[in-house]
Amino acid sequence: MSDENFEPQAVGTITPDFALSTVRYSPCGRILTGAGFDQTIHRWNLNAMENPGDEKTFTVPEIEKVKGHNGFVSALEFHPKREIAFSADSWGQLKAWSYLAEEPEPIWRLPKAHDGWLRDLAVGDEGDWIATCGRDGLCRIFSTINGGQLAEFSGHNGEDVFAIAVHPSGTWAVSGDLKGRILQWEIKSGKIVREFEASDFYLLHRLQDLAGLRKLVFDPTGKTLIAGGSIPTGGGNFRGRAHVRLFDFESGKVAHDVVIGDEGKDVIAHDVALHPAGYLVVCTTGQSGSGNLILHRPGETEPIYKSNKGTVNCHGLALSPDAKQVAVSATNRGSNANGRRLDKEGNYPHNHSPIYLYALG
Amino acid sequence: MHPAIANEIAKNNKQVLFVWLDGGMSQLESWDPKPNTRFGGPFRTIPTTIPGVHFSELLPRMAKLADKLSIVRNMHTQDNSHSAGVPRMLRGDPANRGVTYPYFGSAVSKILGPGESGLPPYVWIKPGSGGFKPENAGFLGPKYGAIAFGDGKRPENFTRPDAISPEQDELRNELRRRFSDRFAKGRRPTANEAQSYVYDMARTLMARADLFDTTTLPARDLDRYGRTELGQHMLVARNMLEAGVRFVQVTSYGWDTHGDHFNGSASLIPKFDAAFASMIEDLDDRGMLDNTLVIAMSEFGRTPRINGHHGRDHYPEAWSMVMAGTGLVPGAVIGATDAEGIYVDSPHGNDIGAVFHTWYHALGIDSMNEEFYNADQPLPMAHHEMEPIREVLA
Repeated sequence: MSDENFEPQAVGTITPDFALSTVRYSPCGRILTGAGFDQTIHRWNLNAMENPGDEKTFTVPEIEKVKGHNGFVSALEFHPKREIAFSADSWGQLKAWSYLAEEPEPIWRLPKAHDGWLRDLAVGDEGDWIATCGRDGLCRIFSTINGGQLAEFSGHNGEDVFAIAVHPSGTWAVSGDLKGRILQWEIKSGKIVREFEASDFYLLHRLQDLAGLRKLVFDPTGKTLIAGGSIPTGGGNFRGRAHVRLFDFESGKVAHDVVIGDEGKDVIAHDVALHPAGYLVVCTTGQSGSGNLILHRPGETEPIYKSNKGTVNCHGLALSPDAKQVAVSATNRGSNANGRRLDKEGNYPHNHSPIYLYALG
Repeated sequence: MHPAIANEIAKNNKQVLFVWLDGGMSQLESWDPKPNTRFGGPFRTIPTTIPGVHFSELLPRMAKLADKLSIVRNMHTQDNSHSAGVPRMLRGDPANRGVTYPYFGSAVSKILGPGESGLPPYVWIKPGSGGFKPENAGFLGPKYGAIAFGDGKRPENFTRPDAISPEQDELRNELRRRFSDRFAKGRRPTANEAQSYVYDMARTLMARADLFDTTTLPARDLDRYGRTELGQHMLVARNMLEAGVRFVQVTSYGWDTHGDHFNGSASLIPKFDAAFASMIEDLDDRGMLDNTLVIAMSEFGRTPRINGHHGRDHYPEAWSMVMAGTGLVPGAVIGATDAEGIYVDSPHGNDIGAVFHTWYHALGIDSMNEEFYNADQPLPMAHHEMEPIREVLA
């Protein structure tokens, strides 16, 4: 660990009553959203936050939930300029809605934007279109104005496409699939430009295809492409080691290959962001009680911060627009158990995702 | 069981295909989905050929064959650990009588015998290592153990070396038999009997290298079953059943998805779907379903609750298994779980003892009245307090 103190300072904890896979700040910084396993998008009004830094009295009011999704809400992003959010689910639905409205109605809705699990979405820099990818092996471009389909990319040959990112120039998208193929392709023509080396993010173990690639994101300048996930080593319960790979976008070569966290504990890096100060912010999951929020500077072997005080099995993280805060959705303790273990009231419980808000130094 | 009754049953020429998904297949991502509920997971459901019954979208081909299945949706068993659950499921969990009960394969092997094929009555096609598994047979004696074919391949040194002529080979075997007979004198018969039995079975297999060869099968078959480990093993199983092997077990490992369960299911279950559906289609096309009992199951299901590593844990309290073929009502759906898949619809659901009785009855074996004999000790064939699931028996 570095001598410099990077320890995030706790701002407070939000405790939604369900499990979330993704958290995102609105570009205005007023709304924090979380995408859930309960077919719902949860929203919190950060403007009404009270007593930040005091864990006992800290509160943030939750505002009206956004309903109407199916299965898992799998992706959530915001228009960079307009007060519109885009959300997607595992039944293939994509919709746009006004994130500041008290009771948001869809601006438009595509029940079958993809055939099945819509894995990820990314907004073009100017906000005119969004790029999506899914288990149907396709990537698609949709107008943000009316949801009309503008283009389709089938270069993954039907393999499940887990992640997509749009280059800040708006010229290219990169998408990564089950087999660890990360393809750069031209938005206008759909022509494949090149492939980034990430085949080790995939393993066939016995019968099971293990998909290690989970997240693709560009740094704001577009000079670096960041791929997060895992180098899988075995199937069943998914064994592997959390990894983040940084590519120099100009050359296409690997700039840094960062092993995240501890062997056996940090198995999958689910979400990753690059802080303007140059360090990676990563959240991981692993078996019971594992997983973490980790800050790691590329090129160094040890993280600059790592703690799982509360932040166990983290699935989503987001930097606030000014990058002074990070929100990370984790999992309650004791989330796993064989058999039908009931709570004190005799009910069969579900898990939930406390969201930890930290100020970053 | 009385030999005359056993002989009569054996004449029916029943066979069994037992597909074991080791580690625990999720009922919620397969036979009993609960979409858009608290624990429903990410997948959609699809209608099946049984009106009103839906499967997970991960089973598209089985959904079209559902009317050939008998589905038990209210399995309620006792163990939530693999170490206890696997043997209990495979031995049928009779009451503890101080003996080790045989696996179902061993029991069928004992009752129905090898049939006219002369091939081993109980074979096990599995990933990894192979060999003879006498421990499966419990009190029936090692002779009724399984012969396991690791990675679906024939045993090493399977064929007669070219340097040895058939005549020399026969002379060598005659010598082996004499040594065996001499060794057996004055010793308990079971171990030596098993040794000779397995050796003789292996010799019959030597003439059937074709059973393990899937390279000559049509490409269409390889595609239908899936060019996967399970698809390949299921094709070897089909060869075995066609050749008359009495009991064929196919095991697939890697179903214990405590982490990243949904992506794991998205990979595993469609591969099972392809291999299992192809087998059902082929057995049906060949008229073999009339005589073959087909079973697909695990040691338990998986928890409704989704853990922090996006996994599902072990859940014996409410899960599903499927059967097809001889002696069963096709298209039957037995029992149910509640709206979230937490509880079965009756206090006890169906435990493995009832399922064993059902299997025996489907094969024409009256397990409620017939008994095993361990030396002179009569023992019930399956749990004495349980009964077959009558609704599923034809």
